[in-house]
Amino acid sequence: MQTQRKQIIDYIEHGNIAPENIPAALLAAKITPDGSAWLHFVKQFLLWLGALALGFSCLFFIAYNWAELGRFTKFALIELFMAAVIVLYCKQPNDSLLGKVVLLLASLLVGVLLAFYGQTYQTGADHWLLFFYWALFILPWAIIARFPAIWIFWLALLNLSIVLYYNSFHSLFFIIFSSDQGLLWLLFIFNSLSLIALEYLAIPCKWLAPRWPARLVAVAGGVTITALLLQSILARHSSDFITVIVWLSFITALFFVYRKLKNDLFMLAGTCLSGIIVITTFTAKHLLDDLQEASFLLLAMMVIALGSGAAMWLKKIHRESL
Amino acid sequence: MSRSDTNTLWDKLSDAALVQGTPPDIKATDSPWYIKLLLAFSGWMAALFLLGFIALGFADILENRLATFIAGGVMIASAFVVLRLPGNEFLQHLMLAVSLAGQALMVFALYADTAGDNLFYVWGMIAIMQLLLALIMPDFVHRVWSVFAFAIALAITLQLRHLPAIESAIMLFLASWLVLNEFHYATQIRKFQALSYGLILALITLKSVALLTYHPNNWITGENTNRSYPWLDELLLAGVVLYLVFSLLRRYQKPLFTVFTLATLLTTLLLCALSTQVQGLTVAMAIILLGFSVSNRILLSLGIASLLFYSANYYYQLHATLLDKSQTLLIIAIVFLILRYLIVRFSAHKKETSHGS
Repeated sequence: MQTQRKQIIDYIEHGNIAPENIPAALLAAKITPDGSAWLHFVKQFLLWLGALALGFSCLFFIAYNWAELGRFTKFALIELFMAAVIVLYCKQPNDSLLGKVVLLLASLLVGVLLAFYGQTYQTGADHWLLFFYWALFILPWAIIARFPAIWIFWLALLNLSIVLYYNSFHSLFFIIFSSDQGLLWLLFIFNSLSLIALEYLAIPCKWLAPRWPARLVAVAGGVTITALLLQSILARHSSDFITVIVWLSFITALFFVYRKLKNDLFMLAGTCLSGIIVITTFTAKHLLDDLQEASFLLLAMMVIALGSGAAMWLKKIHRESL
Repeated sequence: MSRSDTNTLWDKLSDAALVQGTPPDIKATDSPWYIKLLLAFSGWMAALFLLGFIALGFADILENRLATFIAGGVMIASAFVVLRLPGNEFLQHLMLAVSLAGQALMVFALYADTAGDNLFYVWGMIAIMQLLLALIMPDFVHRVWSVFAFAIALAITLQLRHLPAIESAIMLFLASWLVLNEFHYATQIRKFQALSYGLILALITLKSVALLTYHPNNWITGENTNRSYPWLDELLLAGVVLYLVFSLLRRYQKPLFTVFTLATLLTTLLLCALSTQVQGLTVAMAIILLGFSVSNRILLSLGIASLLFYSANYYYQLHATLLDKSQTLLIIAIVFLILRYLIVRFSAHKKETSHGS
């Protein structure tokens, strides 16, 4: 809808649409939604908000420190609610939005149940296990739901369990990633692998066609590898060389995939931004040691040149894709 | 959008006799938001280095407030002149950085050694300066930045007069008016868009920091003042959301005294009442509504992101127990799901009736 919107703005600005015809043209191009579009939107909006509010209401209810309710009553409440939600899901037709939202709600409730179990029996398990098992238990639902939001929720749970795992053990299998940059490396590897999986799965699975899940995961991967390289540049870690090679490989892979195989300007813009940040930090680190005014001017010009160059290149690709 | 899609849209409008002349060159179309964000980011970075250059190379000027103020003004004026010309990308981008550095110099000159009651006038002047720049600067990224800076400066000015409760309502009203009227002024569409984006970004930022019981003014005065009259904030926001919903109903020529209109307005009021508990709900819903009403995906995404943030923040608000929060959320869930059920039933019934007749 954004591109049609841009197009109609062009028509209006070029005087192709007379002022008195603008409302009718907007309606014809569906920029101004008609009655049925509003109805669809309101139904979706109420469903999403209602389901999420219900899930969080249950979470807060269980989290409240009840003196009057015994643990079995609380377990029964969560499980009954979960069973009701699953029954509701089973009654929905295949691929209905209501069914998918209900499954997302059920996935939230699994976490409530696990958290309450851990709280009640003081299992002594590490925190990361809660999120890991949560992700593990909802995996079958994520597979049958065929819904990007559940997969992003699933990936977020695993990211969280990685963070908590690393905070507990400071390494993985006691061998690799034992440096102070280990957490960023783990997150980078996990999100990069997730990105590859999402892009491969998007080929046969039409429900993964929306670009936002892959973009979100790519941002997570890009931010972590850029942060790793910035740390290396600023603090001179022993892993400098490996970080540079991995960063170069990552942005080259992004460039190749999203320029040659699958046109995605957002990914290319992110690649450029990472490049500008890294080049500027590297140059600033070496030029600003003696605080000369000429160094600041040179850096300013360099950033402008890099930004303008990147924008011109991206705009060229954008025009080519029109 | 491919060329064939463009032709389809043109043909569709042409068939309805809504367009005239020849279609414009599609290659001159506007660039996506993330390219603008990249330009803005590198513009800010370059402005910081320019400021470093001025601080070291022209240290004498910075010691004189008047000279600093004039130097900042000259930089902004040169940026204004160059940005008006159809120049190359490098020059345009350079001028964005020059203007940002010039603004920093002017603010520094205004702000140096200022304290007490003078702060109010200084922040008022910064707000006026940014508003003027937002209106006259012929560059989209510059406009978004200037109106954002205007909104933040205005919020601080209002806080200095103990009026923080009205800032969100002012911003939401201005943003709503701009979005609802963006197509009414054919030559000003992109200006209206830039202004509304800046205001909405500032509104989301201010509401978020206010929820964290922090206000930008705290940086200025060093006092840790909580927001005063949060209920007034929500009340005024409810008024603006009613204006927004009423304007949309008028767009579709719905008379005021019908069951549909009154039910819609009442439901809006109910949702705004719930927002006194889950603060930020009204702002997020208004942004989502604005985005959908003009098919603006950027506004829709901003609205959804802010809704998620405000909802998550509700867990950490200390004014209510978890049980109270659970009850509030349950009421919200019941209201929303019943409303949805009624709408589905009503629309199905209407469809059946129309098929029958």
